[in-house]
Amino acid sequence: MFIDARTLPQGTVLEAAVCIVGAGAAGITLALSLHEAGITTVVLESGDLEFDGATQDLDGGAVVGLPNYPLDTSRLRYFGGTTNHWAGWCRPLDAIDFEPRAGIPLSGWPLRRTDLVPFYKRAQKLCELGPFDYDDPDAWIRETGASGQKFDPARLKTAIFQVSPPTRFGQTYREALRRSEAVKVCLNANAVDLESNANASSVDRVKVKCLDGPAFSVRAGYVVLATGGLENARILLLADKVRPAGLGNDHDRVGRCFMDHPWFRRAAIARFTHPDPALPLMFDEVALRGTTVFGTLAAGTPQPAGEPVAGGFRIVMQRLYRVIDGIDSLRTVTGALSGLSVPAHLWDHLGSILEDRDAIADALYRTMTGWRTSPFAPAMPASGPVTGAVLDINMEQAPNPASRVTLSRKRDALGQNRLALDWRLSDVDRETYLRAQRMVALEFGRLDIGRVNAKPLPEAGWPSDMVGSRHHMGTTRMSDDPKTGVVDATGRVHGIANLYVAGSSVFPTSGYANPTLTIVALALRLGDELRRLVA
Amino acid sequence: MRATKQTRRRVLQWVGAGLAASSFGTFAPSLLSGAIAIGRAYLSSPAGAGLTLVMLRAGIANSPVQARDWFQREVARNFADGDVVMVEGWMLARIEAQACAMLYLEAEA
Ligand SMILES: Cc1cc2nc3c(=O)[nH]c(=O)nc-3n(C[C@H](O)[C@H](O)[C@H](O)COP(=O)(O)OP(=O)(O)OC[C@H]3O[C@@H](n4cnc5c(N)ncnc54)[C@H](O)[C@@H]3O)c2cc1C
Repeated sequence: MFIDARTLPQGTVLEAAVCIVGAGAAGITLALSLHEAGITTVVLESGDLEFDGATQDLDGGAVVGLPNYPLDTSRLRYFGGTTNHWAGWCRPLDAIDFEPRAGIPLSGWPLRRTDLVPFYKRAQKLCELGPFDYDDPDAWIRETGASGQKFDPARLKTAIFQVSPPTRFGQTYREALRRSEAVKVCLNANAVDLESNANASSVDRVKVKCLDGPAFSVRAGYVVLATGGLENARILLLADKVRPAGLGNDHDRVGRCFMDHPWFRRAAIARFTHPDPALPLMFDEVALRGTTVFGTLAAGTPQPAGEPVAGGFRIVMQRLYRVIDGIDSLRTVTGALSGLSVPAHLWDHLGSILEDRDAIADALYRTMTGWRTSPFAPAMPASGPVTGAVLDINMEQAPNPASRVTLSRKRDALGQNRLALDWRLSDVDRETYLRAQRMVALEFGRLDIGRVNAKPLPEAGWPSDMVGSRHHMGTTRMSDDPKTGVVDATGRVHGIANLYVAGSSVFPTSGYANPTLTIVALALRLGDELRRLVA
Repeated sequence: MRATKQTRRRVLQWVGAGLAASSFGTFAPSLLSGAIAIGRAYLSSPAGAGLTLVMLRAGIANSPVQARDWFQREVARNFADGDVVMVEGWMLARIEAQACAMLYLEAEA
């Protein structure tokens, strides 16, 4: 059932077995699970059924660290949440992502991948994907009629991704929740505080405000925060009446270890030794077995001995039909000049820059604007022999307590402190970038696919065209130990009997895969846990 | 003496081009100049400084066909062993960079 919270009388107290705050991928998945079990549930959703600017503005905040997308454009604040504009790329985390890794502090989940597999299988259906088959890329490749490359498994592998239609959770599951008698979805209802008992060992009620309307509250046996990777931390930090540092924050963990998947465009260019090398699924999405799949190159496991410790990565490739020398030269020249040295062979480089100036203008324009097309696009053949590829690196960020969100002094229309995002990367992340370049260069060379020209990292800092992926993770991380995490392996906030968190904020590490399939799997797992507790 | 040197030089250029072609197949048109430029860059990099021309010691000039197989195997082995050098952003097998260096030296001679 849907309720417009603005129509509720001021001071109303709603009661339910479970209160879910937020109706995005996590909240809707959980609500469906509780609906199936007939468990009385109130879902509080900040937005309405459609986008509204004033509500969206509540997501605004500052980006004070490394550049990242503005906080109010990297998520959506209405029923269905950010799945209203997600792209639908799905893949589970790899087994290695759950394991503690030497040299990567704070790595390791209190779960194994095998614990999540049954939930991943159910999550596939909710995301409208095909079979849960990610571990045998060759089986997918065979179905294309091609044969893939025999990469050294410690260095590189083909990672299969499935593409959701993409499921708009707010549309696809709206009717099921509208018809539900057990689940009440309150729209335009912003959770603004969690009122706890005197020693903050349980949450008594969730306080709610409408932008133009009443304030009311919800009393529930269990409360689940499912407001996205940033807002989950914000709500805990704002709940500071009993614990001045916020709920679940006795060890100063809430908001720390923020992770995104850093995306490096044109991190390398490959020139193929022979045109059209066999790299099936790497360039196109293909319809197979009732779903849509594509492949990327990804980190092999276990990491080769003797290599510096690094995280996971994937390499997304785009075809080049003609190799552009000028772009390589421009890179060399600008790289050298920014280090205030004159590059060797300047004359040759300038020659190729002049020859390829259209392609360079095009590349610059697209890099600066982030758009996929530009008015300078040179007449490049869109077909013909593929002679190379542009390689983007999208990679795991290692957990880093200094990378964090905090409450800023600025306030939103409800009087709540806005967030400040201080995104920081570490030395392990530099190694991950270099590992990605090195592994692809070694394997392309060994298999005689081609040679790789790698874009170097600046001596200090990060390339100015590095962006995030709008995957907000880690700010209420999961750990068995309250000193290193905010929630336990079930998603319950340490020290608080009835408060849970759902979403990617609980990820202790991020892997290189997109987060939503794992978010949905964890929400299904939490659904089973709550069904058991409520029963 | 002079004739011998010319012949040796031509053979070396031919062998070098063949070797480089086996590595840079797609780029045959600009092959020689590209390989020479890479060789020049490699020699001026710290990794290439003081390079002794192992290619010559391997006696490849005497048997170009075998040399080509040998070279390809060496390239694959360098990549398998992680024995690569970075030349102007290109990650090349060490032996490849050395072949290019040889071409450059011969072109300059
Ligand atoms: C452009 C873009 C493309 C993406 N593509 C992919 C992709 O291809 N694959 C992938 O896996 N992921 C992708 N993502 C990420 C994906 O959208 C998120 O991982 C996913 O939506 C997170 O689900 P969630 O339920 O945790 O949060 P959200 O979907 O953000 O939902 C949170 C909900 O909580 C509500 N809310 C917030 N605060 C409050 C409050 N105080 N009170 C009440 N309600 C509140 C919000 O209105 C919202 O409805 C993409 C994201 C973006 C921005």
